[in-house]
Amino acid sequence: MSTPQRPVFFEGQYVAATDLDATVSHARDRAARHDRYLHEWGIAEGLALTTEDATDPTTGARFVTVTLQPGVAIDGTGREVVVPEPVPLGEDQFRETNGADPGTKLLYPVFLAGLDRDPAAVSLIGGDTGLKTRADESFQIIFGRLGDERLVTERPPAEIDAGPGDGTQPWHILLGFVGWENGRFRTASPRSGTVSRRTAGVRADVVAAPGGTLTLRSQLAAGEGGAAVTLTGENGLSFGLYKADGAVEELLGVSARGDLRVRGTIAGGPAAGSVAAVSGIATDGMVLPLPAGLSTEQVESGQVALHLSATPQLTGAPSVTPPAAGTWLPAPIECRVGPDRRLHCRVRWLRIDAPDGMAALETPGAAAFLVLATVSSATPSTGSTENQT
Amino acid sequence: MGLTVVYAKETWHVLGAVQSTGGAGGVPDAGQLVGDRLELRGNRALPGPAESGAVPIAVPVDQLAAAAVDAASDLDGLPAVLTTPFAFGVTVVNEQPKSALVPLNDGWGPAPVEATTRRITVTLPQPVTEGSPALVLVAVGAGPPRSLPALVTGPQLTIDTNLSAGVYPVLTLVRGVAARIDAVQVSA
Repeated sequence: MSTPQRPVFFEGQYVAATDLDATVSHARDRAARHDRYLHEWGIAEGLALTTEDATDPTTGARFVTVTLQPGVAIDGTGREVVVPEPVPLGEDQFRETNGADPGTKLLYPVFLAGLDRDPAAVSLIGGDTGLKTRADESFQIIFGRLGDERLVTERPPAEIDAGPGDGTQPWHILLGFVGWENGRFRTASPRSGTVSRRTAGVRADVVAAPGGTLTLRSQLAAGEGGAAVTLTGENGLSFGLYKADGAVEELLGVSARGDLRVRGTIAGGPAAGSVAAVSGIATDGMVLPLPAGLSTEQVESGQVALHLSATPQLTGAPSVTPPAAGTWLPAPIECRVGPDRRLHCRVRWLRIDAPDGMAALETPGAAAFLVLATVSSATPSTGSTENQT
Repeated sequence: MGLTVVYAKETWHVLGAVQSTGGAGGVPDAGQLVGDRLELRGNRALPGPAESGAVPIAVPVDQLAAAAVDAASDLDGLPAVLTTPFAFGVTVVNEQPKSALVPLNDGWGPAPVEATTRRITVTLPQPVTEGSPALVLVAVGAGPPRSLPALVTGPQLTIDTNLSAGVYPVLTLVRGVAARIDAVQVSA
């Protein structure tokens, strides 16, 4: 490995072929490192495998011709692979790899790889010497054996300072799959099972939107029905589908304040065996709340069991208006939670310094509560349980 | 911790409160906090410690609303609205309750609510604000309470009704004045 070297020149210098090569290589290597380390390799544009129905004039058997459409890909060395025009896939080349009649319904992978080739037409300047003055940044199509598509990711990465590969060690870019039957192609597909052709991506820890709106969408064009995620400072995070006018109809959003907006339904819920809690203080007659994410229906169906406790909050004097004079001692006479989670809290106050003997006063009270909710299995069991003070 | 109150839609009186953490976010509706009714009980002075009792009255949920409020005016570590909810009210502007609670006039005199079989008379604490809405709920039997709306026109509120003799729980709500529940003796 070595530090990238940039050619420099001085006035009157004799410029040799190596100097010019270095000029080209510096820019080309830099571009390859950019593509390799700031992007994920794969198909960038086009390169679809298309089929056309055909019939063998001799046997009358039906088959398809398979054509690789034009496109661009970046391989794992950062090399750009350009297919400028449609290329028919060769049956003879397939037979060389997999035999004439493999006899299976499984699909065979098809790869693209960059390859430097000598140009067909030699430059006039170097033609007399037989030396190369150009190199075609060409490609080759490679048929794989069954299952070879799973070996693509096992290729070791390029050296950190390396330029683009020259194709002598092909970097396989999966284009898709072909089916073979009776010695001819029978189909082509972009995927086989869970494996599909690999498209190029982006490597970044930070993606910043200078315009103020960051958009991710699932299609190249913003077509109606396509999914999009947008992030803005004003509206927060939003997921939705494109409408015909190009606007995104929000289905799910999180505001800049953290408020959640949901147009659809929220599936799932607490897992069986999990425990959720809510605690606080409530006044007499109030219905105690349920922990977040749980509903009264879940309690009533027995899916959620409640464990409730309530403790009266006793202050220094009766909570009456106007305030009662004197010295009072509190005694809770009722503090319980009913089956409907309604709090019943009542306190009796005894005045110990009344001039004409002991006086008493009953008032509604407030109670500290704890609601523990245990999510049981899907089988309905008991309703709620109570723990009263 | 979030503090939420349940208040009367017409008169803005706080009738119940809950402060909690761990519950669902946002402001629940009144039905989630009280069910189909808010069961209230008033104070009761007793001649001796052996006696007990309460004055129950249930306010239907359709007369109630909920609001998130500031947890101010602490008393013994508790927001005062949790110990004396009837002493507070909310302010509603453009149909939206404001978060700051308002302390209400609690200068009631002794036995301010009196009733005959034909009318209920409420002696209001001074000063009164003429034109203030008032609502008197009278628990009659097991059904929903009888709801008697009125407007303040003077130091006394007089509402015609039709009651038989007996003792009735009465919830008195006059905007700007602390709510109260009384066991009112209706004389023939």
